[in-house]
Amino acid sequence: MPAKITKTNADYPQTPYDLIREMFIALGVIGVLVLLCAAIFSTPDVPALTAKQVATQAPQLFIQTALDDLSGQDAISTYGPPYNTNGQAQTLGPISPEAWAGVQIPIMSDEVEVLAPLRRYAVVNPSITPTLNAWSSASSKQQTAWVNNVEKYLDKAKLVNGSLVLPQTKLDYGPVPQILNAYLRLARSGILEDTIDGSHSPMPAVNRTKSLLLLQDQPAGQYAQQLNMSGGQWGIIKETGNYPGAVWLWFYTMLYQIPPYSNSSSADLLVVSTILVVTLILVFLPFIPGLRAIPHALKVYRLIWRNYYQYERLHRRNNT
Amino acid sequence: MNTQLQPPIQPGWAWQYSWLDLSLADIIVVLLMVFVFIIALVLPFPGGHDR
Amino acid sequence: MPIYVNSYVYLFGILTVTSFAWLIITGTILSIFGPDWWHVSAVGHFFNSLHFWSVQSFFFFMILHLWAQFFMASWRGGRHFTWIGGWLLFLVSIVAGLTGYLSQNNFDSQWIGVQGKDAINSTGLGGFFNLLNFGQMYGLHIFVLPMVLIVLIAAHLFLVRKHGVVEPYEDADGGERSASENH
Repeated sequence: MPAKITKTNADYPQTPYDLIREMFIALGVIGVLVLLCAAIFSTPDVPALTAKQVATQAPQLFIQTALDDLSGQDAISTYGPPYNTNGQAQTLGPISPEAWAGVQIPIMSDEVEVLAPLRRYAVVNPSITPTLNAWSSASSKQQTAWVNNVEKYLDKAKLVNGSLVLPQTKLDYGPVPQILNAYLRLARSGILEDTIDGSHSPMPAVNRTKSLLLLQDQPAGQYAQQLNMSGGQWGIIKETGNYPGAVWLWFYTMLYQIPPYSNSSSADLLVVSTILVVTLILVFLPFIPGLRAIPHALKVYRLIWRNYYQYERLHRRNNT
Repeated sequence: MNTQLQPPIQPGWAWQYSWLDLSLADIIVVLLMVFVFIIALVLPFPGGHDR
Repeated sequence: MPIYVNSYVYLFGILTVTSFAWLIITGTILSIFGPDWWHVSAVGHFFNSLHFWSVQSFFFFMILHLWAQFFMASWRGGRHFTWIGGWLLFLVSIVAGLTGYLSQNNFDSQWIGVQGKDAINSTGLGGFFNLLNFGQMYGLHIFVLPMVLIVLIAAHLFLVRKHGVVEPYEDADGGERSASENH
């Protein structure tokens, strides 16, 4: 039984040792190391992606995002819990913590991301109010038809003096072009995020859930793709630019890339469950026969304690 | 109108093989970890009983 | 200190703790000046760099420490709580790192938030632990999680002092062979 310990720590010959001195030396060594790295390499800081930037650099992408939000086809409108009940919660057999927790942060994208900010904006620019009323008094079937008509001709649309101009057709666009133009102006002014987030409490906008969910799908995804940071590019462990990222999450990120995780509709729950099981095994390794004997079998310990084993050998030889 | 978003920086080089996609910086860190560990194992500790 | 403690691998633990000390020092300075400071000031950016590289050093040595303790099977002799506590420290450190990334207020933090939220949401905790709520993440990062880490590190160190470092495997032939192999 190799794992059995016959004598304890204090039964061995001792050498003097200064913990405090060692502590200060280590503090100095790490301090110098960190100082050098910081001075030589600095740190990355790619500015936050803003609605202003998307509306200016990629107006069509921004307009498409707004259209998806209006017609409820965006990723959040169809997400399910914790945002709404319109999507499938992730499940693992009968287990679905997402469904059990239910809607915790209610979000309907059309209202939260587009209409509410424009209504707040209408206080300063009342001319938008009839447009918003025309939209909200229409049936949802009518709203969808308007959005679909705009989407059909979006590729042929132009920006004239910063305003969206759709080609003249027989199709009825309803109030959608005016809504989109007001939304574009709001975004270009740089205050869209604040009109989305900062209205429900006396707090400044420290909770940015809603504005982050506006750009999370296509715009942020496209941006991340160009920085080699999409999910399929192991984006979770990567840092922007040439910097090391969170390599300690390699196992978590790797699971997303391989089957059965990569082609599961409940990939997140499956990955998290696997991580939980693997972590529990590692945490309780001391109690798992077989696994806890691996270090003895690997024999790396002989290298670590080689001086001691040599000492023991000499000691025994001298005694015999 | 259909233009792409432009990040202000270029991504670093990454090694891509099948589903692997590891940035050079991360590879360096991992190799450094293995290297430091082996060196720590092999180098004789000063004040030891080697001779 | 027992004579078998005679290898550089024993230093990884203390290098992890001192990296943590640097994290606390640099993090305190960053929190004094506020979360926007490092974006607008060169000095602030430098302290952010110190903090960033302390994180890299912290995890670097923590993982090496974990490898070393695994190869020595350091849970032997009633030291299982030290091992379990070490894993708790690793897990809480990962959450501390995550909340730190989310507190950066740049594209990295936005992207990690919107990407990471799906995993948290799948566990049903998305409404409670909301990666997109900067205020919550920042509070956890600069106060709650460092406090938890300090308590856990203190307990970990106490257990190491109480039990002492783990004894070598006593297999005589292993010792013989390893001694001869080294010559």
